[in-house]
Amino acid sequence: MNNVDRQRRRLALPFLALPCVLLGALFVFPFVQSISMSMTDWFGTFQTTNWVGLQNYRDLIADDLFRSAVLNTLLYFGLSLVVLFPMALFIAWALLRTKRSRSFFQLAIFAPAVLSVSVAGVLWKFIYNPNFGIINTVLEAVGLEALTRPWLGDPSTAMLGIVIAVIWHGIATWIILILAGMDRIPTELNEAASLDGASNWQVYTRVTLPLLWPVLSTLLVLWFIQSMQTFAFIYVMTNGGPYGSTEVMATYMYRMAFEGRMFAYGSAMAIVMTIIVLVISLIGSRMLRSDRFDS
Amino acid sequence: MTVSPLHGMTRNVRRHPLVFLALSTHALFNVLCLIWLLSTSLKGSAEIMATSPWAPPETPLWQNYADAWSIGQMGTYLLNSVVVTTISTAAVLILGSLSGYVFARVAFPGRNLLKAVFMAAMMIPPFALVVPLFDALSWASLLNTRTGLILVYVAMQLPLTTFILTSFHQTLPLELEESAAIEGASASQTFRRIVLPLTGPALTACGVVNVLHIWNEFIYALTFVQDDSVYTLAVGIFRLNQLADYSSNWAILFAGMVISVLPVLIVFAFFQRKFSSGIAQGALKF
Repeated sequence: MNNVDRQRRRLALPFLALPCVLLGALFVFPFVQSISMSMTDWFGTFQTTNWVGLQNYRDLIADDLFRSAVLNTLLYFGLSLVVLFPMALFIAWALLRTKRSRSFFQLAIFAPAVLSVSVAGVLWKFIYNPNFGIINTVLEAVGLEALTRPWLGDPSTAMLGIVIAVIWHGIATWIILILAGMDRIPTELNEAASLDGASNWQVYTRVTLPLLWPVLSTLLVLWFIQSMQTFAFIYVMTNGGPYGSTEVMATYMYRMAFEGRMFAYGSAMAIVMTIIVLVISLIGSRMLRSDRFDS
Repeated sequence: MTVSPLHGMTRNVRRHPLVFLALSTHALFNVLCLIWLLSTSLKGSAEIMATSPWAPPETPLWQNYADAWSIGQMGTYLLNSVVVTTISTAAVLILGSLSGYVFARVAFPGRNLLKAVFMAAMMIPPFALVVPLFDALSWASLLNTRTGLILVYVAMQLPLTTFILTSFHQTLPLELEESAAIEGASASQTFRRIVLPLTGPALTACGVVNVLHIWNEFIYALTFVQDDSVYTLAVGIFRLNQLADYSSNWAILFAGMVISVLPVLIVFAFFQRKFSSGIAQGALKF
């Protein structure tokens, strides 16, 4: 070990002390606490707390409401997947093909991403408003009165309504990531295909998309992980209603823990969510390792 | 490292009419939303209910903005958001630089274990921590304080920032540090004068990601702050909406939304480039 290394080594302790204390106190310790909490019957401050082992987890399995929350979470994931990825791919493809007005389109399409989630959620609540919202008035204006409805008040459309709002808000991120992925595809390949007489569409489907697949599969995992934790839009827009049709794992957990004061049961749910996320992350990081984004 | 996926692109591509149509529709929708928001914010609550959303306000009620600012407390919420986001981001960047550098450059016993802890922390969803953190903050009397939120946000963002900065530090040439050492600079001087300035681009990208995450954070702010003098914008607008649902006072809510939307849109228009490269970096969160 040379002198420089030895000098540097002395930095380790002072440099890492504060980050480690913070992470330990506000991440590691609470997480361990969360696990142990999930094996008690903790019900709030003034109750005695008993160790109940895996009872909360057994209750979860038997809980119909939790099961429907899991299904709703999967519904949310499925619905958004069907809309989000094709749309993001199309817009990314389109953005590459605009020259003069690209910066305007980028600004207009990406702008929602900087809005706070709750602002975007409240905004969409009003876009769907049956009395003065935009959607219904536009439908009426084009002669489609039959389709108007209280979008978020109708169990059959509420989840779709939320998904559209989420995509409107978040699509910019996915477009940027897809573009970053496209950026790494050697230009020559597209050009060669073009010169050989392939149409835009052929270049896209036969060259770009297959080469993009490793990136897309990573984004897919990322979206799954985010979907499992979806909360803010639902909490703001429908709070799980109408009739539980948009109740997902996170909103159910939050309701149990902070409205029902069932902290232990909520913790058990949080741990289940963590396990799902961790398992998918580990599978995903395998993909990520073979295909790292940048740096 | 990708500088900017959107601007670095030079490609020979053919135009297509569909392209223009699709982008225009999407952009038009967003512009219409903004116009609708602005025009509605200048109407009275009764007028909002009674008239078509596309009708311009009968007489623009600028008073709505004054009311949103004072009665709706948007001024307070905006200030809270700015303070919390600025301090948290600054702290995360400083601490992340330190730990990122050590992880990249210094071999010490237990480094890999510690690194694994940082990595694992990135994968733990906020929900797994919200109950115990609530408990911890209440024990430390930090509920309903900006300090409490800042501490939580710093811890929340530190793993990702450290991770991005570690991989950036690894790309810097070692020779610079070695020659600085030969010239007699101490390790900490080398870090401050040579290494830190070189991490500028990575720090900007991390800054963008951190600002976006913290500005947007909802669950922790909702749970740990129950006092309206400490609300961030995210929670403030949500609570304002809850109030409006009971009182039908839409005017203040719409003006409040404009107040919370316009500043970020203007900032965004200026920093668009940094924004997209920042997001591309932040995708490493995994």
